[in-house]
Amino acid sequence: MKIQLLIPLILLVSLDYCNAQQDTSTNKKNKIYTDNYFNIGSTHFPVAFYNTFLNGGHLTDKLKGNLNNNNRILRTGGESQIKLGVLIHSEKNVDYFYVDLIQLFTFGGKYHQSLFNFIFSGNNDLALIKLNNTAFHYRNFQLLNIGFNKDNYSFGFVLGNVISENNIKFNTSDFIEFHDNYIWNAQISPSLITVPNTNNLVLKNGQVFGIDGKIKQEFNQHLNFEIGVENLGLIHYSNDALFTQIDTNFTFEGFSFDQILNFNETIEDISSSTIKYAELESPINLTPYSIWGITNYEFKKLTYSLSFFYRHNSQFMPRFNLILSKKISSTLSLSGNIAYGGYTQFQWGTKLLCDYKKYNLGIQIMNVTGFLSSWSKSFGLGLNFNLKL
Amino acid sequence: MRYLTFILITVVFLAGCSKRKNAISWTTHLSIPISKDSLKLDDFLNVNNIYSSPNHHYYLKDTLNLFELNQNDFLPNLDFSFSESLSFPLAFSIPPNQIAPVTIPSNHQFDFQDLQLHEISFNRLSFKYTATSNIDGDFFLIIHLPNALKENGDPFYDTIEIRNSNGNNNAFVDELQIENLKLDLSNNGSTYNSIATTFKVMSGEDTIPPNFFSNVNLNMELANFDIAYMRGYFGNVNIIDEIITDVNIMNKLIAKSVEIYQPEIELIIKNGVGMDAQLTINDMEFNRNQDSKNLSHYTIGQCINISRAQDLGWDFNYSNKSIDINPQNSNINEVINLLPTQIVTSYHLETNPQGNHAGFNDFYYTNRPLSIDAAVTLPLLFNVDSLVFTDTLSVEFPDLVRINEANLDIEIENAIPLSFCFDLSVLNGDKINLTQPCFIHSNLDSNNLISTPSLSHLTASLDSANSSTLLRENKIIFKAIIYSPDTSSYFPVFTTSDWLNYKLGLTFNADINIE
Repeated sequence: MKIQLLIPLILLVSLDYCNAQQDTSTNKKNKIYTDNYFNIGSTHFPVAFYNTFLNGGHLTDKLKGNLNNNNRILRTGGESQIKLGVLIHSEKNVDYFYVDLIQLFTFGGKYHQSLFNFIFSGNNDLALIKLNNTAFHYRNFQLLNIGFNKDNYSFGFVLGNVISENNIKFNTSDFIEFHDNYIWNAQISPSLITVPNTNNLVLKNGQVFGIDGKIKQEFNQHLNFEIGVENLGLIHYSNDALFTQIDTNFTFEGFSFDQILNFNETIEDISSSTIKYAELESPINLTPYSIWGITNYEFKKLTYSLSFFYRHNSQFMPRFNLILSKKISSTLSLSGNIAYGGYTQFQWGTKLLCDYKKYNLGIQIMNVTGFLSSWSKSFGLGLNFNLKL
Repeated sequence: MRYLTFILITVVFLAGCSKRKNAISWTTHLSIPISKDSLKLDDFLNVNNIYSSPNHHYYLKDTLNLFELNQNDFLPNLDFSFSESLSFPLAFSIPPNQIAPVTIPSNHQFDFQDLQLHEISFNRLSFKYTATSNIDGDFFLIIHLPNALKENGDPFYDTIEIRNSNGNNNAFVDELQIENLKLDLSNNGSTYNSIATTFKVMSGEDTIPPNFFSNVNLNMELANFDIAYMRGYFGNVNIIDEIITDVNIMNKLIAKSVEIYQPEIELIIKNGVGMDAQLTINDMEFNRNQDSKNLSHYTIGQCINISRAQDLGWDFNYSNKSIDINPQNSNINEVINLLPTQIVTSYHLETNPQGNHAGFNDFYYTNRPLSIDAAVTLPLLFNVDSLVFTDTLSVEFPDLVRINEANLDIEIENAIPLSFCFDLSVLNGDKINLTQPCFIHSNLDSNNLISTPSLSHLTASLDSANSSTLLRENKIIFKAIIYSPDTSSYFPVFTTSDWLNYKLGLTFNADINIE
């Protein structure tokens, strides 16, 4: 079944069970919750490009998007999170203790249009591929967050595993230059991190040690501000994690006559002689932490919010979000938002919240136009569910 | 229903993680440098075969083996098989693991026609033997060759086990393997082709009972052998035969005319056999398709005496004889102009024409035969008219790339006194379009020496139809047609100062496919 058809169906089924209920957030009850989302986006090609990558097919010129953004840095990426947590009420020094299990998968890339064009359109009309500011990552983390909430702040520790990770970051002076069809000049000196998965369920090749925290400031009963950080800390890598620095500067004018006659040997020689590898020792790195903030202003039955989100070292552009929320019934709240940033540009999103007795369900569509996959450049869904015990 | 909804959502998310079944593809227009190099003549020819002549011209000298006279060609089949019926009159019982005090000597004379061997050394010798006996129980037969020595100089003994547990004259079959054996077949110079043997019986774990009529019947059949050396009289043998030598490289060449300045063929007769011979080359016929040319030379039909090699023990001397074939004493120019693909040499070889005058001292080492080589000397001073080199080139494309259309651009600086034209086609015969298919010879001075290189630019265009044929067949039929600047003069080619620079770039429109 197409996911586009399934979403409205889920909404209908879910809304059927939503009825009016008072806000129970001050009821001091224990709570289990799940908070899940996934999103994909690009600054320059439509969502259907991803569909083709996932399902196979031909990437037409239309799917490749606009190929003439010559001076722009482009981004592509996505995130997926599955979070299961429990909030335990405390009568003593803190209000709540929380324990979260998070599976976080992110991938992203930041690059010039020329690199995208070279790969997907060729270099026939290309004189230069700029590689400065070019970086890509793929990351899969498992995290355990343990902390507490008290009054207007919360604090916790993060322990986790890097299931797998691949990073490549090019140097500011890197480029590939084409002179007619007889000469390529290249300066390529990226640094790479490769963290392979292990067969051991517990011991992985990277361990995460970090903190979570947030502070909320209420200026008056209508205006408040909240800011937080997640997973700020260090990753310790094992010896099986590879840190490599490539330093290659070459002019390629084709192979020599002898190299063509002995082509198999030539291919082996190229990897061993042209590309210079240096293995680096860097067992500790900063985590790809995220910081966020939101300010809310309530006026009449509407809430106006402005939020931001940023994830470090992930080719992520700070995402700003303007949100307008309205409680449309005693059980339902509906919000709409306009966002800019992340791995895409403008998004028009919506979120429906439903409170019913002990249950709380939220469904978010991060870009309403994302269902038009051949036109829209991002797509995302969020689903959160709370159960008060 | 709430839980069902939650599960449904989870399933939908997970369903999106299923592995992709179809390939991803996209169209790309790439431009890639393929090759760049500066080529000299020694990039094409083996530099070890190129020499400088006193008149400053270079020449190519290569040697073609016409034939080798090996053992099987001039010696009869050597069969050392023999049978023995051995009687062991055993008056007493033989306790376990004891040798019976009876030795049975024997002598075997072999007939090898004219061949009278005094000595032979084997690298390897194996017999398949069949033994029957009326002796009850497992026992051993000890074979001794009194005139044979092993590699270390020890006398030769070997033991074969005969398992005759029922004493029923059952045939016991096995194989005897011997390595590095030197045999005196002359019994200290008194005879030839003769092997002396002695046999003894040894008991195994069982006692051999007394029996005056104990016997062993042994049949030794030669299975295979590898001779290292032979000495004796090899006989007077007449061999009349013909040798066919294929010159495969010539299959790729045709020409309207090839004129080489002073080509030579030196027939080198190298005799490593200690045996005199007389060789008569009755005819040398050079063939190409239906055309043929017979070599005209004073040695054709004439008897050539070949002396024996000399084995001095501390030194070895081949007997060498050479015959020069050049434009002054033959029709070699006509032969070369034919670009022969096959040489048929008919000959008559008589061994030991003077009989056994060396007194059984003919010798033969397997690795030192009598051979005839043709050393071909081709000065790099020539004139070619429409010399066509044709080959089928394999072109492998990675599965990742499916080329739809392509242009191969070639820039050439030519400092060789030859013009080259190309003709390319895919395997079904369809031509690959070439704009400006030729690049011309270098500019020459009045002495036909190179003054400046010529510059040419060629483009080969592969359309979609030819592309799909090429992707299917992975082959290109390549034809290069080579011309000298005119049809009358000889033009020198220098290995170091003549060069050809080229740059080769490919632009193509292709579909990239990732499974």
